[in-house]
Amino acid sequence: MDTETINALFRRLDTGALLELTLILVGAVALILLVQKALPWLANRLHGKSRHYLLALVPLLRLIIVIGAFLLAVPTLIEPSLQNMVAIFGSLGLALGFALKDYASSLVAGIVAVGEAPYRNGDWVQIGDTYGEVTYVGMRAVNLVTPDDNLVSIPHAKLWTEPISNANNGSPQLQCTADFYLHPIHDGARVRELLFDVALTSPYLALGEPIAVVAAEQPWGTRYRLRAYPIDARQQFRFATDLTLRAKAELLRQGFRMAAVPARPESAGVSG
Amino acid sequence: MASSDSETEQPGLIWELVALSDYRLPSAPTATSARRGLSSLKRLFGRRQPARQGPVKSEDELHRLEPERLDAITSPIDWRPAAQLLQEALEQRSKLDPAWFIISPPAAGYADLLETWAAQQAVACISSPSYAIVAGDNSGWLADLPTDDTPWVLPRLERCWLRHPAGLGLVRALFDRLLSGKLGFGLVGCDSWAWAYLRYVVPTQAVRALTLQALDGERLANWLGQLAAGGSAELAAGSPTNLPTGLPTSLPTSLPTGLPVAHGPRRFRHAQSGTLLLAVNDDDEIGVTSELRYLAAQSRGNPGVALRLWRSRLRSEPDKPEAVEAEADDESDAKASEESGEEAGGKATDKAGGKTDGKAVDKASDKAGDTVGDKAGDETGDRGGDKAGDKPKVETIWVAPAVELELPSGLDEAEALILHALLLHDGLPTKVVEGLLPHARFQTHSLLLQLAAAEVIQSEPDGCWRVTVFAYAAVRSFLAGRRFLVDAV
Repeated sequence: MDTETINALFRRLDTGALLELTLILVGAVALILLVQKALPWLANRLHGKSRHYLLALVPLLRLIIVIGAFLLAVPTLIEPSLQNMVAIFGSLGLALGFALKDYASSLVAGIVAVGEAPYRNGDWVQIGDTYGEVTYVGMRAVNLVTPDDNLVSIPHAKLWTEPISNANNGSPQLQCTADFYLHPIHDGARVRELLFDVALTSPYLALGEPIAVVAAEQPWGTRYRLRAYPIDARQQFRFATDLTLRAKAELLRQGFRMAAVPARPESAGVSG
Repeated sequence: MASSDSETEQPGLIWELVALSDYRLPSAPTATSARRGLSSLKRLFGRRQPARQGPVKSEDELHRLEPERLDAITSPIDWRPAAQLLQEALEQRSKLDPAWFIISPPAAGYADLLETWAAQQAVACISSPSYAIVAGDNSGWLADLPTDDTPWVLPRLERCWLRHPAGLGLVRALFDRLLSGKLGFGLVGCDSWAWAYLRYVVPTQAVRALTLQALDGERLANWLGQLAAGGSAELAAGSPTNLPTGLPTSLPTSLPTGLPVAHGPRRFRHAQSGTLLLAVNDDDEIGVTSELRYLAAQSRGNPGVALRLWRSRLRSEPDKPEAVEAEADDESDAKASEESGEEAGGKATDKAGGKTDGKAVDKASDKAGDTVGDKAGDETGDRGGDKAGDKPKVETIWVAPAVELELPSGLDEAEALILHALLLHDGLPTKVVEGLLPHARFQTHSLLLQLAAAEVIQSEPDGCWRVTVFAYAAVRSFLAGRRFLVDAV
């Protein structure tokens, strides 16, 4: 493709066209900024489903704005014929494929992430070893805030290779678990009732959501898992702490013994 | 029998026993609803006024009524007619019912109704257990429950549980005994918030839950009118079936004593607009005003809350504490609200006082003001039926504009947990609330004091912290917005 042929693909950019492109670009950026600021601001004044719906709208609206701006800008830049389109986007795709493979992969995954919604703003997800609340779904990456208040940016390309574990999947409900380890000799039915009541009386509990107590016998004792839902997903750690502390206090008050596994020095395992 | 059909409602009837699911909230006037919607939208977008520190601002121009006078105008609730209604319903109950539960919204005072009924019928009234018994060994309290066929009353079921792993046993044991028929027939009162929670603890669907129908604008106007007429009018104005027969000589302590039974005409006028809101013992017939409809909606049809809000708004003029005045009986009432905006009236300003804002107040009430005030000095005499010339003595009570308490900004999860715990238990003492919540005790204590300073809660004579009636609507809305469990009424 010689220079003349390439030039023929593009329209001549006069002042009017430049102005139009600038307006489209500025407009799109302004709209994206507005959406990214206003919707989370409003969402954080709400609770429950409304909050999640608003937060989840942000990446979708941004994608719509980007596509809209792109569709408006392309006819200004090139003659919108099929031949021209194929030539331009074929070359562009090839260049991106080689030079910015990972970046392009993340961008495409970002579009897929908006469509498939494996995570949305406000969701609590685990990607690889990172668990946290999704605070921002960008074009290239998703930002999580971990319970330790660290901001972790993870490229969308992880979608292709990593399992995404989503704890609440767009709803305010999120299951929490508290584990208890008891000495094997005890009245299991009584423990189950007691743990149920501990969850039922937690002020964080979302009443109406299921409460489950799961027991499993282990060589060193009995493990109980208390599963319940807090009113708001953001309360999960406070809820789990409340369950743990109050259940422990009540179990001890009623004379149950915790399982005690003697600690073994690390070297013993190695030498053995 | 408890009515579940509004068509059976009798005109003039105030109390109506209905199934809990048939409770109908009174609707607010459209303009008020729109105003509230706009206000909540403003709050959402952060344009809120500085939080009020109290439900009512101090007023320079109008004075609150003296307690004795308040009692004379809005006498405490006389539950005898409602107790009689309850008795009539109970006479038709199925013998298979192990118990009836009367669900009471906060501050509605239906526990007093049950106590009144117990006194009327001379049945055993069971005292609530202490918190130590609820969370500890309660076998003694359960053993003391009547086991023969005689009916009994437990007015406050909300005092029989705590939201704590050790606090559910008593209420479960009580329900076991009730449903197994070991206790005879029981009439149990329960706070509506506690009832909402207890359905996750005990089989509340297996028993009959009733409540008194909400006071809508019409019922509220009738009721307030009867209270203002001296409290006794209700007995006469209600349906004949409401007339108590064979009332015991010992009446509930809440009944007013030494109050005059009959009064001269009383008119309640809006302090800002001068509009006539309510007239008692008066020839004038006025319909139910939007102000009273709003009061009904604001109080969610709850008589206790409505009465407290109404009492808090009543005012008199400082120079005429008795406010016994003669009003021209002609068209003044009808024209007052229409013309008040056009007539210059310094008197109106006085009446509206600091409660209302400027110009509207300056013009307020007074056509009524001129008419009332100017003539009052000449004709002030003894309250009641004395006559001064040919003109009837009209006692004018000024009603300050309604104020909706907005919660202080910055209330968050910790405050929500406290408020929810207080509502679920219909109030708790400091030590108990500290033990139920996940925060450090000092933190809970500090938050309680902060909420009290903002007049969202108050410590009552029984040592319990309770949400104030002025803040109740805002608190309920705040908790519902955060997806906390709320009551059904």
